[in-house]
Amino acid sequence: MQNGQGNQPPARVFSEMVPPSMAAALLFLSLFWSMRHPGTPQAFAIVAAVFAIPQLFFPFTWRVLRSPYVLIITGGLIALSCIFGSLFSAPFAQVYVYSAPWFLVFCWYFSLGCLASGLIFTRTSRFAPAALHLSFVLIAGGFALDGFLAAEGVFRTTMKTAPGVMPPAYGHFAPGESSDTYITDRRDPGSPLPFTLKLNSFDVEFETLLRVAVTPGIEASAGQCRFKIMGYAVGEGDKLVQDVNAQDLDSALIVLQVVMKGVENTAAIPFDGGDFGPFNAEVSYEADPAGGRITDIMINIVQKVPKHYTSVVDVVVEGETVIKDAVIEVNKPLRFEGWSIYQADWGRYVSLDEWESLPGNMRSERQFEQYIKKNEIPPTSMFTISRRPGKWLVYLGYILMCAFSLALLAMPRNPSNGGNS
Amino acid sequence: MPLELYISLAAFLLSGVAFTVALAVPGTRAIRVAAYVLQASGVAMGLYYFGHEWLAVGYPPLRNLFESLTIMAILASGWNLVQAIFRPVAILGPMTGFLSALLMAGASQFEGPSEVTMPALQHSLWLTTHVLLIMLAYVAVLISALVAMALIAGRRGFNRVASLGVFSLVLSGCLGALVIILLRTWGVISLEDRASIGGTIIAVAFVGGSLLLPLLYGLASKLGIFAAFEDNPALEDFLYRTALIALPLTTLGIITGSVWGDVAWGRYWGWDPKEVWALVTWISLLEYLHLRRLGERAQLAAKWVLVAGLLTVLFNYFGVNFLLAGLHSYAG
Ligand code: HEM
Repeated sequence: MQNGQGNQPPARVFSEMVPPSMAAALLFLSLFWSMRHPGTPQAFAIVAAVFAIPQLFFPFTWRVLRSPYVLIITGGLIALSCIFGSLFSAPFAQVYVYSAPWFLVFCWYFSLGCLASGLIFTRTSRFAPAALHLSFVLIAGGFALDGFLAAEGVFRTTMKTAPGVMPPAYGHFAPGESSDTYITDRRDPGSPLPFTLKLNSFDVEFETLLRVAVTPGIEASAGQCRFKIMGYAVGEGDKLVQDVNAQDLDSALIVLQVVMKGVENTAAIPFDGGDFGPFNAEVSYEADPAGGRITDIMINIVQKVPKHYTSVVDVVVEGETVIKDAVIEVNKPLRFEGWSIYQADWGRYVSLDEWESLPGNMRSERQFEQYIKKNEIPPTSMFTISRRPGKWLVYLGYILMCAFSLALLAMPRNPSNGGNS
Repeated sequence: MPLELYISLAAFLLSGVAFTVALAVPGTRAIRVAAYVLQASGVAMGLYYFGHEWLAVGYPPLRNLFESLTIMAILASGWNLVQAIFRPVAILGPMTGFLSALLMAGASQFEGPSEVTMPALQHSLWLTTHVLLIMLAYVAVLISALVAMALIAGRRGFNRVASLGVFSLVLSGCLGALVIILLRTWGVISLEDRASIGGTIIAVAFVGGSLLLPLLYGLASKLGIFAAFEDNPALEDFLYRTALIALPLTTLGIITGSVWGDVAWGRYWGWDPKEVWALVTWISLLEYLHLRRLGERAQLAAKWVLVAGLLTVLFNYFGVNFLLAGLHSYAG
């Protein structure tokens, strides 16, 4: 072999110049694309293939890729990017870091490096390291596939949001309701599903998380919450008074300080009790019929949390019920033809029509909740739905990676301290 | 915190002291044996509590920061006991004894056994396996990073000071966190939200660390501790083997977490901060294993990468819980 660039045959210089140039072009393109078209990783991947794939036909590329320095540099860049991304909110980081073109380029070279070193191990018949490296490539392949093919959303249902009162009800099924469309966000017109899901029944089982009695002058605490009666709001103005008379009972509110996990809030509770935040309050007191002072005030505060949700559903394809009365619970999704349906949440909603027909004075949160309670409106069930065909490749990679990590551990080795193998 | 765990904490602390004495004073076999007995009883007490709680709730109690720190303390000391059966490593004794004591003391500052968990986190086999494996993996990372620090401190000059500096920073951060949370519980200081607690701890870590560094440096030079880590091929080998076990453990921990995410939320990977920081820890182990083959200077860099791995574990545990918020916020 000759020394010095100048004496090398032009063909060789060419074959060693082109791949790095293409890599540089790819990186440049990725940075440009990240700035100009954020949130379009699929389109980038297709365009980038023009610069990425031809590199693979140069042997020089593979010689560089199988060097552990590729892992060290790209791995370091991925780690730093991950740290950077974790500082932002999840939806932002998802678009501007984890599916940003520059991040995909790092992942691309990382995975190719792993592939190259895996292939080299097969040549020297080192089976366990070869299989280990190649199984990571399977995982990366599964991820890449899902980058194109994955779908995720909620069902489009008729439960609607009533502005100002009800939290968004996207994807909530009332018992008896069915849907054959999924949406990815509230502006999405929806995409058809190859089946119809019908909710037959839904059941929420509650558990008491917290039960505490609060009396004036004494601070009560339970779990991570503290409660204290600050005073009473009677009539106009925001001055709190320390006593309430019987004739003010109808309009008076008990002002309660609530500290939950270090966050301070105040709640105003009428003397006939009611809900506030996640709590329900029952108020008891002694009223002097002559209109004198109210005494023996006590608020019983109860917080109930859902312990278990159970949805019973039918899956209907072209008018025919193919799955009858399937049970969906948290951690027990229903799988059907590549789609998985998960129990995500529950709620108390009415349809927009019903909400519109309520008298105007029902449209405060408290009134609304009382309406729901009084009319025994059943809770609604919310599912998420997803399809990730790349998952099976990822899982295969997982299993192989575990198996061959163990194989590598069990094998006799030469712990080369510093030297190259 | 229940009484069993205070006993366990005391046993770990005493075992750390006894291991240190056994290491410093030659010909003290009896003390070494006593240290192992203390450590084993700490582990037994911890396991007793864990089993008891398991029977009471019907599934392994791994639901919040308190419970996961408890199990981590048990695993760290357990690691040393298992190691002692196959191939005892002298400095692992004091290291794991004090580490377990610190973890248990940390656990004592959190809310105690969980009362109710959100439905998605209830007795899912995948979740339990995930937490257990990831705790074991983090214990392996902590141990290998501490050994890496010791080996770096075995070099002269800048590396020694820098390694000890990181150690002082982490130690004063952990002790400072304990003191701050205690003071807050007693009502001496009032810090309500998590971010201001986190910020104060970081400030304390830096101030305390810069005071601790010259102290530790002087002490270690005087006692000849640095010399013990100079050119220590047996320890190098131990480091390599531990990291080689830590990698598949972390891999398994991430994978089981991913499968749980799939079963519970329909996503095997969601780029949630906890996941992302576990991935960074995983990458640091990979970088160590690949770097160490590339020559003398890369060996040193490889050890520093492991030290960075320790920082990622700490950040994942405390930083993500206190400074960032995510899906996994159940852990706090
Ligand atoms: C850019 C990607 C990568 C490259 C270039 C690379 C290269 C190498 C090389 C050259 C070795 C030396 C093997 C020997 O001679 O014994 C090695 C070992 C190893 N690699 Fe990779 N690798 C890469 C990615 C990965 C990944 C993603 C994993 C994780 C699954 C991995 C896990 C391992 C393990 C566990 C060893 C054995 C380490 C030891 O025994 O010291 N590598 N790799």
